[in-house]
Amino acid sequence: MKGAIRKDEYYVVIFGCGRLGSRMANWLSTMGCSVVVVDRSEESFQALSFEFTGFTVLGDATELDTLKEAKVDKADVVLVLTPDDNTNLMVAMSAKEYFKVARVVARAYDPNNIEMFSDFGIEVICPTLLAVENIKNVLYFIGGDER
Amino acid sequence: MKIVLIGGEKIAYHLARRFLSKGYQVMVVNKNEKFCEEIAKKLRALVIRGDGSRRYVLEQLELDRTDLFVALTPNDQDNLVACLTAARVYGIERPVALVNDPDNKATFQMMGVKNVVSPTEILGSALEDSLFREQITNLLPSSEKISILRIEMTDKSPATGQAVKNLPLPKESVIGAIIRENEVIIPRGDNVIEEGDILLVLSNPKVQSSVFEVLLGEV
Repeated sequence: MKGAIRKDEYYVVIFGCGRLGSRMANWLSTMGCSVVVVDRSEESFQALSFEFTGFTVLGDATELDTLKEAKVDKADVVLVLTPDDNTNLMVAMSAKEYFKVARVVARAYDPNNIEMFSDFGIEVICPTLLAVENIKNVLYFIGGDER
Repeated sequence: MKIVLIGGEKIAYHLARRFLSKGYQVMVVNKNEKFCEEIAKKLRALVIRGDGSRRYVLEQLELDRTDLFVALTPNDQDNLVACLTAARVYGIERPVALVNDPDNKATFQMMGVKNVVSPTEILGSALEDSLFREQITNLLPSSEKISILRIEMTDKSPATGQAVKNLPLPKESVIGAIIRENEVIIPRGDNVIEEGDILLVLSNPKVQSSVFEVLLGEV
């Protein structure tokens, strides 16, 4: 694994408590990580299950104070999973450049944005490209690849 | 050289008007359809409807390295991405971004967007200056690290009649000089502050408001 950090307990901050963010938070909790989830809507935290043992921070991720409140400076891993690419870019870059977080993973819907993320050392998950790959595999019979 | 204004309604309109009247070529990019229609009717600017942080929108602008690119949306993240894209993809040398949260200024500069304007900060210090102008003058308004304040003492100031050593001033502040009539006193703890004194106070801007409270009471 690239840039692997080994320690007993990881401190993970997750931005965006939607479908993806809440699932990651629940799972990381069961894996024994200490997790902080940040979202600007209080209702979103209802998606967290009984397995979730971490903390929630209510706030706008585009304000630097919110990042400080979530103690991003202490984080081993930051996951940036809000539905807005631009917000994700800014939060991920702040985490990487300003707070010097070792590993920052962000979601970008627009494949055009991937390069900019990775230039700053941010690892990118692009749901669009993942879906394209998956659908291509489902449609393997078109296109003539030997299978 | 053309001037490209991304987002921001009233500000974009007035900036466009200003630069057009100076003879520049101006492009206005905005998401809001109604606003775009209005601008197109009122001004000679070239109007493009779309999200200025998107590459396919910026592509239409035929940007040149020397263009003045200004991002004015109410969302800091959109301004950052617009400026970064302009700089990295289109080679714009000095994109300008508006930041709403003054704390984000540092982040923008770390990312390479060096020209950052924070209206909150400008308004904030303008307001503070005009509110306190009569009694207080900041002699070094541009510094974020130190305030040199000129404060006039009146009979209503709680510090009047007190010895300097008894004033509960915050640690990161000091009364550097007292101007009394035409004399300058470099005060020690025993000096008593009188009505009509003008104090020159050095302080960390962070504790400035408690300095005012100690010297002038509630402001």
